[in-house]
Amino acid sequence: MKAQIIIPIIILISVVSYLIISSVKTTMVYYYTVSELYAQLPDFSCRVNGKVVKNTLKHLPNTFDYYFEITDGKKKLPVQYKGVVSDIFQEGIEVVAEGKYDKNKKIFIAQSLLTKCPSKYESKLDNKK
Amino acid sequence: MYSLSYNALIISFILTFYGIFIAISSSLKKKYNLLESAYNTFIAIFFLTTFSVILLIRGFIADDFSLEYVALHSNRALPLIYKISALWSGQEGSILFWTWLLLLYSIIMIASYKKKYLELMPIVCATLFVISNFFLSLLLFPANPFRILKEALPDGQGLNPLLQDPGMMLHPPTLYLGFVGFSIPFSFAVASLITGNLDITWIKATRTWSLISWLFLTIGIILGAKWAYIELGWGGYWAWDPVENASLIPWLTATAYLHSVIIQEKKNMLRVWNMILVVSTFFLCILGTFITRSGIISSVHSFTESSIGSFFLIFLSFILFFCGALIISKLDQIKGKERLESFLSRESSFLFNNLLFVALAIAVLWGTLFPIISEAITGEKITVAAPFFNKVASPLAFLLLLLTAICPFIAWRKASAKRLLLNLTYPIILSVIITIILLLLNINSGWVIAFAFSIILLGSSIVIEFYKGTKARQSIKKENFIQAFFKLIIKNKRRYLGFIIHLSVAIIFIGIIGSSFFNEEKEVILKKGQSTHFGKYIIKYNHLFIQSDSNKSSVRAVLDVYASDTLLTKLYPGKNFYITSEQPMTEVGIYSNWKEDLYTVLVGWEEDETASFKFFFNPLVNWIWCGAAIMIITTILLLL
Repeated sequence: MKAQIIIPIIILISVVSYLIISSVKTTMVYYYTVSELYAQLPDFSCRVNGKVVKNTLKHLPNTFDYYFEITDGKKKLPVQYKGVVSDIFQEGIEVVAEGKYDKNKKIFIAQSLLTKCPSKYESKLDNKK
Repeated sequence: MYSLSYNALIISFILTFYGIFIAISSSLKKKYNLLESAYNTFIAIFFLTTFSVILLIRGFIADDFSLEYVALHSNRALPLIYKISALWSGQEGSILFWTWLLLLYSIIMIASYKKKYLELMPIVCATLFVISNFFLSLLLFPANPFRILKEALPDGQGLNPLLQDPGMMLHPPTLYLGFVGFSIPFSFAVASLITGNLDITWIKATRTWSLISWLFLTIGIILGAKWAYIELGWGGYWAWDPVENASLIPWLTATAYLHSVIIQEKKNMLRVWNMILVVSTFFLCILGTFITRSGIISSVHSFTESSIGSFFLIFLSFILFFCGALIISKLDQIKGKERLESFLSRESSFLFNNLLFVALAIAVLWGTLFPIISEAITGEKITVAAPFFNKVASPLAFLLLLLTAICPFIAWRKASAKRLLLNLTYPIILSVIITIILLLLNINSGWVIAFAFSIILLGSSIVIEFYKGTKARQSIKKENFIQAFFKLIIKNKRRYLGFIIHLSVAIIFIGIIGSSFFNEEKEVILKKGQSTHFGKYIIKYNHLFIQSDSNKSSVRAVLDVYASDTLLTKLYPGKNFYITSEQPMTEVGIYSNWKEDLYTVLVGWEEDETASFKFFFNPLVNWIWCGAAIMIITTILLLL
């Protein structure tokens, strides 16, 4: 009787492992900083994170089109995005853009834009006792 | 004054060491008076911590902006109720609140079990003291809620507007009541392992606690999803974000545990499995908190990286190695003598149910931790997002629904496949009919068909179980159908209320499938007075208007929603601008009914009141909230 139970369990574990591994393979997205993106210059869709550079945010009125640059402190990356942005989105905020880097236009075409909530737990005041 | 509250925490911290010592002594010497001393220590620590909590709340109510925590999370104009709930809005205060809840749970447990389970109680107390010790150490070192500012601010920075909402107010407390609650079954399991009292006692003692914790965790997760849907304005309710996953993973193992203990109670099997499950659930609660607070995984809810992460890692490693070693060393004693007899049996179906839940928990955990793992191994950070989680969750959820449907018809010990299919004939026929109808309606997404089949199978099998049970009761007692129906439930609450909870799961999945596979969205720019089509609706944008009070001002759009020439409703999506916050907050306008939600977001506007909107169409989404309400109410009935 033990084999009756062990074998289905092994099958279940194998199937689930295969499910997890293959799902990772087909849905994984590389996550780069701006500098890493320039170093890799990927052909495929990926994610880039960086802070929105001051005085670079342009939003064409009456459209969903945004243009801005993000930086990791070392290099700057121009980003183009069409869609809705979250309420926190503004210059200086950290974002994660997912999309493709266009090597000809030298601009990152973002399909989605995630903004990082400013830390709830970071102390913004510097006059502690 | 706040040095008093900090000192109270220091004393509590020192007392936990005393508590650990005295509880272990009580266990070794088998002296009850030492145990009583441990009980009294809990009471002392509880009062000291309550004192600290009261002082912190007082700081909020009195607008005392000399206290850094109050200055960061409150302001004068904040409504009183949110000043109080600001207690758990940030790192330090929420840990203080967690610690207080842990001590509250401990003294309630002690009060209910004073002289019972005397063999286990000493080590139960010792374990709870260790856990309290950890959280108090956080409060003393990296997360001190009583830091004083050099100069008190004239006004505070205010509470994050996203938290100024009743649902969001309750979301952390209910989640904590869930997470913290699992400390009790965990402590009993550890006591069981150490004392060698490995039979059903520890499970019987913690049955109610486990269910209560599971209930609160469920409520917390649902509140989080509903709040995300209503407040965040992205049209959805679950993003598979690391912080969301952190609460789901222990919920999955806890649900597995609630099922497998039934097998140990009835058949004395799965004893090792239950030990591992309850330890894992507690471990995952702490791991979830670690993921949420340490910022170790960049998520949309990111928090600051601070030394708090190292404290957690040490504690987590300690739990893992200590409990792992305990279980492995006592493996032979834990194992029961009974063995699973057949692949097709009620016992094995519970085991497979558990394996599926744990598989799902592992898959979600893997996806959540993947960025860290990939960076550690390959040097490159690789993330997975919603597509990964949906891909792994779909087949596992489908199998779980199927299993839930057929399990009541599988006999104990050794079932026959023939009997099983015979009992399921009507449900199978009904499910096939419905799936054929769906195919004829041109709905041919594989997963929709699969889920529809399993959901109908589940629903109809439960209806049949109730019908059979009521009829069987009627043939013995002279009761009418309604009487027999209710008596049936009351006389076997666990079984029949359990079935209703399963039914609520089916209802929730109807909502999930509808809103995941048939949803639509549209982005559009409209001039004042302009209309647009969206599905069967015609939406007319009239104009904007502004409102303000001392706490905030808001801009709202007036939308008229028509369907087939009748005005259905007016919606007012817009944005709130809080005085204390840099960023605006989205207020969505939703038109809800049982069939769908029309969900409207005001994205932006220009001076001439030309506005940009995003509309979402979420079919059947309210079935989720409805099913969740049934699940919660039924669990409460089960506890009564």
